[in-house]
Amino acid sequence: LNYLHLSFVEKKFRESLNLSTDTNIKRRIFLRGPSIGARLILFITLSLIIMVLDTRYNKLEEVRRVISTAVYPLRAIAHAPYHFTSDVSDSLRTRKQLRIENENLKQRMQDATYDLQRVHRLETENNRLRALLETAEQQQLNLQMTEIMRVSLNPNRHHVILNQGELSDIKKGQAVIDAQGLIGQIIRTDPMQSEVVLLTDTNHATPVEINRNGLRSIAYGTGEIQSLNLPYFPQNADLIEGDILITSGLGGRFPAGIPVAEIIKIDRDTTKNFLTVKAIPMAALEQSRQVAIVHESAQRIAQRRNRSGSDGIALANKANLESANASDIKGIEKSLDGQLEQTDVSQDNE
Amino acid sequence: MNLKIVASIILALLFSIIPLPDAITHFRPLFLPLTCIYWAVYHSNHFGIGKAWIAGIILDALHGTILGQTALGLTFVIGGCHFYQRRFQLSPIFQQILFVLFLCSLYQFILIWIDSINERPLTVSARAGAIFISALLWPPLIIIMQRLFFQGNRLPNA
Repeated sequence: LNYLHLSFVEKKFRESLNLSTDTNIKRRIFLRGPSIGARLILFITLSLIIMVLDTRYNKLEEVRRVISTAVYPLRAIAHAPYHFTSDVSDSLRTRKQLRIENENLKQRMQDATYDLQRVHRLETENNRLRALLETAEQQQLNLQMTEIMRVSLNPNRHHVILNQGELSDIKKGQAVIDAQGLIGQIIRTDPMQSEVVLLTDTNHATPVEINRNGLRSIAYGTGEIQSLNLPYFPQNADLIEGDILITSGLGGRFPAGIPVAEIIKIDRDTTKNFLTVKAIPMAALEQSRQVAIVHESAQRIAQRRNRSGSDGIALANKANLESANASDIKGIEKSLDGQLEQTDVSQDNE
Repeated sequence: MNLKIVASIILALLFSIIPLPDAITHFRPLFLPLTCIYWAVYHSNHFGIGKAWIAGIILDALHGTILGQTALGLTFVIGGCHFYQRRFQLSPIFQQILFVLFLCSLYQFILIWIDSINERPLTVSARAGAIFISALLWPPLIIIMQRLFFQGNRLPNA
């Protein structure tokens, strides 16, 4: 109303003076809008409200989805030079180089085929034994290859963007692996792209077990690309440097048996309750360009449906991704406490 | 004019997501705040807090940070620009660099503050480095912007 009134007054004024219609001058003289102070306060409040909604209540996933879909072209442009240079370097290789590479690949392929045959035999044998023991069969991994986009995100968060999204059937919560091991999990998707949180992010925790003896724990990200923290191993835990950690499959987020990290340093300071254990991720988090997304096999989905009578699914749906991990962790902590008690008892017996 | 602003902001956003080697990615200059400061100082009647805020939200979505984090920082920066706009325009380039240094540190301080509330790694020293690099980029930025969008004429306080 105020605006209308002002513009009306101004029109009259201009008519009476026969002024030229320079819109800029008009705006500067007559219409100032709210003062700078008022605008400042308005936008500060707006930012604060949005931040609280985003961090505490996760209400803005839709907004984020819309914006990140809209800015997809920007990411594609930023990514393009790397795509292009890799294409060019591929096409500029000499015949000799290609022949040598082909030779090597054939050799490796042959080795891998022999290994694969052995693996198939072991797998069937393993499943038969498991059936005898009446434990769950191990499921096969259903993989989908995709590419990491070369765009820079905030360096204080270990997130990466993948080149495919919902259109390629990628869903929130799926595990992402490379040839060496686990990379992380999908936390956000939109039609063309998806965002992955790496397992070294400070907000990420991975349920793991020791490959050698099945000892379970949780690996926390430290914010450094070459380091994971394992804070929950008791002093008498059977650990040696060089042990391989694999996903335990607890919590249902990651399939069991994917290599995660290698223990490089164990600090047995007996004044503390727990060991200080450092591990480095197996996956080449900095170098990987081609990664694979793990899809749940049909069998596993069926298993989960059977279980969904309990509150498992509802809980996983309700909690957001990171807090879902937190609930996994609580379960594991409980089991760890159980282990601790057991070891205490056994010590007493001794 | 609006087209020029949008084009420059898109360029700034692009420069903020172009991949850099890991060693120097923390020292990436603050392209978006610099661009916004330029428009807010030299063309303040076309560029206000609202536009800067929207650009901030877009950068948040691009960088995967909390929505509103960069936007809040930019709000303060552009608010400061508007308060001292006249003085800024008339001051010699050295004082302008100092003032840009102040605005960029304000911006970084807000980002670090929000990161610390959310228990994120802070990397304060690297971010301080980014502030100094950005301030030193101010004179070339003015020249580039004039060349790109005004064909070299209308140089500020020539």
